[in-house]
Amino acid sequence: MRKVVRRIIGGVLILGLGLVGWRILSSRLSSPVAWAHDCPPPNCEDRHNLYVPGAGYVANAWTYGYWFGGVLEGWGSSSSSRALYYIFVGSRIWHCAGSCSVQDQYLDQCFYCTGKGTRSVSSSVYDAYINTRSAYRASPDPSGPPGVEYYTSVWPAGVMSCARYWWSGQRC
Amino acid sequence: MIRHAFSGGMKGGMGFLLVGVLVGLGVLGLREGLPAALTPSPAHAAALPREPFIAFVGPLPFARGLLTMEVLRAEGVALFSGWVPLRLAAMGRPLDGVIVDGEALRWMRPEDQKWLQARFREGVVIVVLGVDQDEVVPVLGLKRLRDPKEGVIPMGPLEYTLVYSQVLGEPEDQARLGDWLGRLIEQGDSYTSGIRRPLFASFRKAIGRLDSEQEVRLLFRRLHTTIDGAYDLRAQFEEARRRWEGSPGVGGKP
Repeated sequence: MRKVVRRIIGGVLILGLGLVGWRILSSRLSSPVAWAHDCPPPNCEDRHNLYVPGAGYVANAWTYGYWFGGVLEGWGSSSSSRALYYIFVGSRIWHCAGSCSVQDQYLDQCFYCTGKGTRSVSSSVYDAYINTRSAYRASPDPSGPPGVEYYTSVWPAGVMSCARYWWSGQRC
Repeated sequence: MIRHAFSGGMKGGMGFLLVGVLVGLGVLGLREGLPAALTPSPAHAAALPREPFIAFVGPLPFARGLLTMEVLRAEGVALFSGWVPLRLAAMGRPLDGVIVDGEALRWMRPEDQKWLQARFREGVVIVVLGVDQDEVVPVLGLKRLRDPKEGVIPMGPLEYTLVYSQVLGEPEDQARLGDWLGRLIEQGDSYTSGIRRPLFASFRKAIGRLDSEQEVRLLFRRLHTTIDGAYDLRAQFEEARRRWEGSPGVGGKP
């Protein structure tokens, strides 16, 4: 009798675990957008629906990064829900000891596109942060609406999200 | 008789001319090196190869900090002790990355430099070991590598500079873009008005050290991610171009 009860309980447990696994897997597979924007703090700063003059609230900007084995590694992305004339994404890591130097930077730009992400930048310097500059311009017309730029950073998320860090390595 | 003498003189003159041209080319070759145009590189495949072609050029045997011949071999890097053997090898297989020891910069002839600059423009990742990044600038035909806001902290013999850039677009748009890399490094952006079709551009610069195992691992991690990025950029550009041409007004046109 006990054997039968154990088997039933075991079967129910396996079935339950299977159902939970299936739900997780199917939610991942059926919603690639949610997967792409899986942005756990403090590893990621994700800004949505940013305003681009001439295009509206179409832009997204994020920086993702993490420390692993004494190395900070991460990357940035600039994207838009509609094609824009110009999109820039640039991730930088500075190191300041007296004066500042760029340890690693990856700068990408595209014309007539919906977005671009950098490849990973990395550094083992102790004072490292990854800051991403995301810039957008809607129109090819030089006299059209102006461009706009946003900053995101890690680690932790948002700690160096300012133009000052990106351009000079100085803290925000 | 006269005609015979004339044709004989003509033949002799042509012979002298030929010898003169060959001697001239020989002297030029000795001074400038093997012409870059004689060692072209084939186009890169669309997809990242299982084992990218990464070459090292420098003195053999080699050791700089913890970067040794054994480490290079373990990472699948092909070793060359001179520019010409490297250039000849790259004729058969497109290069993805070149690790240049600072010593090899001294042996570089002007034509080797032209050849390296051509590979750099094709998106080959260049790593230069043991010299300051300012010394890399003329080698790659650039105006500068340091950001204007960067302090000049001289780099030593156990440091390296990794550089990569690539621009993909129609030739007329690339002409409109002009010295985009110069402006990008100088101004942090190289926005250009008047571009007519999809255009993608990418630049990376990293500096690091060779005095710890972690730093050497980081060098190869950076090298491989950049090579991966170079192939990815080509694929993204081709996709954008296909979309643009396939469905005008829907694809990339804003």
